[in-house]
Amino acid sequence: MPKDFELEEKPKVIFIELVDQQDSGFIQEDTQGLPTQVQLRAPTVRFIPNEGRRRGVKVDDKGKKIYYNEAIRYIKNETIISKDEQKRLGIEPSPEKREDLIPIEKGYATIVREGAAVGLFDYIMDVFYNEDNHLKHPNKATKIFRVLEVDKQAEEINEQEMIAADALTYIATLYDKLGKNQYKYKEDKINAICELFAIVAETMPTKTYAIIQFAKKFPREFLVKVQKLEQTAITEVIHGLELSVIRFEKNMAEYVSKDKVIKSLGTGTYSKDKQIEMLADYFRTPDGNTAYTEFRAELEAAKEKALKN
Amino acid sequence: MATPVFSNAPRFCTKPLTLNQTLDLPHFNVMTESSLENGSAYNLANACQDPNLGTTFILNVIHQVIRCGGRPMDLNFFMDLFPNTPYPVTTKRWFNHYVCDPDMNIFAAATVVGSGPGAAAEFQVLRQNHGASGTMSLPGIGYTLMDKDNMVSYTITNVDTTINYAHKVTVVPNSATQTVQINANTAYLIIPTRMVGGYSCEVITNKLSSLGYSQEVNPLRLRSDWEVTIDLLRGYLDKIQYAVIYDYQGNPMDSWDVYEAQQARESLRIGLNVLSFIGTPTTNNTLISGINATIDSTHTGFYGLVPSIKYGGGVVYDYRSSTGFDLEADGEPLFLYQDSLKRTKKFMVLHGLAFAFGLNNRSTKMVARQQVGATMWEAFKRLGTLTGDKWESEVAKLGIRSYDYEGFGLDFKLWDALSDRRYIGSDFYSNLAIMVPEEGVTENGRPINPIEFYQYGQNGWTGDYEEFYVDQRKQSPMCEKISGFCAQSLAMAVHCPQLFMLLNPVTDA
Repeated sequence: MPKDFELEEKPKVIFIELVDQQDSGFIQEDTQGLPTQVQLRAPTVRFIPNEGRRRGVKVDDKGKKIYYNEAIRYIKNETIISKDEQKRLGIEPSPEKREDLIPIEKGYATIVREGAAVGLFDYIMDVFYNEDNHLKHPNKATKIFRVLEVDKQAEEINEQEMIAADALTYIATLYDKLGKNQYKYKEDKINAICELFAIVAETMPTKTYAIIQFAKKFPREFLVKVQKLEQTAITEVIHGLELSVIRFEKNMAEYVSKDKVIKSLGTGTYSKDKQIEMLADYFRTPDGNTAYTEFRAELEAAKEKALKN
Repeated sequence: MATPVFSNAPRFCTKPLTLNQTLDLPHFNVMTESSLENGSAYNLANACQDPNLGTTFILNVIHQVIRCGGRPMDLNFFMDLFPNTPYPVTTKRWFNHYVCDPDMNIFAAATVVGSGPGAAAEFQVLRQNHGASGTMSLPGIGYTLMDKDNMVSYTITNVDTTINYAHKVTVVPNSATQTVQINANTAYLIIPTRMVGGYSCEVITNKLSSLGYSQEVNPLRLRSDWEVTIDLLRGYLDKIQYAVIYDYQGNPMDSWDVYEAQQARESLRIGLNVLSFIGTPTTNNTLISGINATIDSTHTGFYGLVPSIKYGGGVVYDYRSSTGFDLEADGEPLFLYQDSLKRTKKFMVLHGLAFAFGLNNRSTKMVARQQVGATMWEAFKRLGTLTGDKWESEVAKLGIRSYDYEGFGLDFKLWDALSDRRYIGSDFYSNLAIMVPEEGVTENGRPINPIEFYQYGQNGWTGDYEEFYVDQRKQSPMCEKISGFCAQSLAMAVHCPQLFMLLNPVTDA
């Protein structure tokens, strides 16, 4: 079954507007002077041609691409818009050609890519009357309409909002609220993030505030880098444990082959995952920087040894 | 030679400055030199022993040089086409109200299905179907909502108007076996009356009228000034030209005039006609008030014919000028659209020449497409039998002047100026056609002109057209010149623009 005939769970939707819109002086009676003033700026209806051209491409015998202006035509209920292809398949317009007209009422129209409108959707997107195609494929066709991709814009906005929310959620893990105006900060992590993004502040609250502001401004960049930072160190710690470079003795992280403690993780009872995370956090702090360098050297040596064996 | 508009008899000596600057060409000066004391004309006259030769030379040549050949531009192309007496308006502010067809249908914002047969259901009215800033809508308690196409009726039992632009209507199916099914994108007719029993009491409900749109018509005033200096010592440049006018008996009479005055009148016509055709009001405040202001807030101008149709609710049909307009494929959908709103069926189609060529070519192919017999349709006609040419080599191509189908009638009229590139014409306008309604434009049932000009103000003080001149020699500082100006105040409205159609040429690549 051709893809065009499959029912899409969420069909694409486009919103188009006429390029040629101007004031007409016709103000809707009860809206004059209001912020919601309604003025006619377009025809009651504008019928746009159902035949036009798009940028077509052919490949010659030598494999070279040849670009040309391909004739296309929208026929209601049909999904094929290439005129050559329609001819080859015997698809002809309805004798009642009004069936194939494309009306745009008061300057705007919404088109959903489903049912009888699949061909219309593709035609609208491809035809040179679409202002957007003038940039992609320079031509002298009349610019009749432009496509406002509502769905795409909304999704982009949604995605941006979600990323920002994710970033703030992550920052919330950097401190615990103990009571009214009492916080316990995960200083190692906060310091590591400040170093990563060159954020300078004096105290933990001001550092956290600065991180929040940065994350709000660049949520995607913030999340990507932080996750990378977290994952790199954690992966290396896990790798070190697997290759028996380091081990945890109660809350003590130490080297296996040499009698040296890397870091005491405190007095609490922690799971192994938590211990890994805490050690990784320590490695990312300025204090742990030397230990981190030493650990990575040991890890590299163990990796080479493992490869040789 | 055609009768000249201007005579050359020098009764008044003037110096048309712009003419001097425009035609100060060596070749031209030699040809038209009138001085017998120097210049080429003197030499010619001396050689021929004929002192009048120079003057004779001027008289013979001047019309062929100054008055260019070819058809003159149709400067008054728009106002000649709609030559109605301006309608007097006694104020400076007036409005027209259009696009107010009542529509008794409403749409639902989303599809709603009832819980079962006979059960009530609530749906929200589409935003566009509200009026009075969203506080009013057509449905009223007790009214009937008709699903026209399925012949199902519902009674409206409640209308919740709490939220502007989002009125909620509760309906109950009149049939006990019917489940409410209100679909989005479907028009439902509101019957604005109540079904009552044998005895009933009053329930007064507000009814919503169609509001429509109002447009303020702002006039514009154009003015053109001129000045001509008088110089008695020059040759051909010193001649004033005398316009030939005709009295009621058709006798030509001289009346004095100067080229600059005539040119001022022409420039006024250019301004008025072009702005009536495609002009739009001035909205830039720097031109309305302030240091560089040229007009005032009253005289910002009006919307011309084409912008009124294109942006003010007309009907625009884009057709590919490369293939031409097809009365069947392109025309019939327009007819159906007009019919769906019960609009005008008779049109005067004003068009450029290129539109006519495309229309004729497409029309020629219409019959072949329908396959009713090639012999039934004459595209060309051999004129041999008429002219006596036995070879019948004289052929005429047949065009279309009118079209009639199912009550729709089109009368085609070539608008010559649309293809005059020297002036308003262009490829675009040559392919353009404007369908002006011949009926249906009414005011309180009285037919009015679809395009109307206005003269505003009290007792004609703002002037339909005015022209004045001053002989500056008679007043201080008594310079030897004549000056004057002409001005015209005008406003125009396109009545019921929704009844007009614009056949708009587009290119596809």
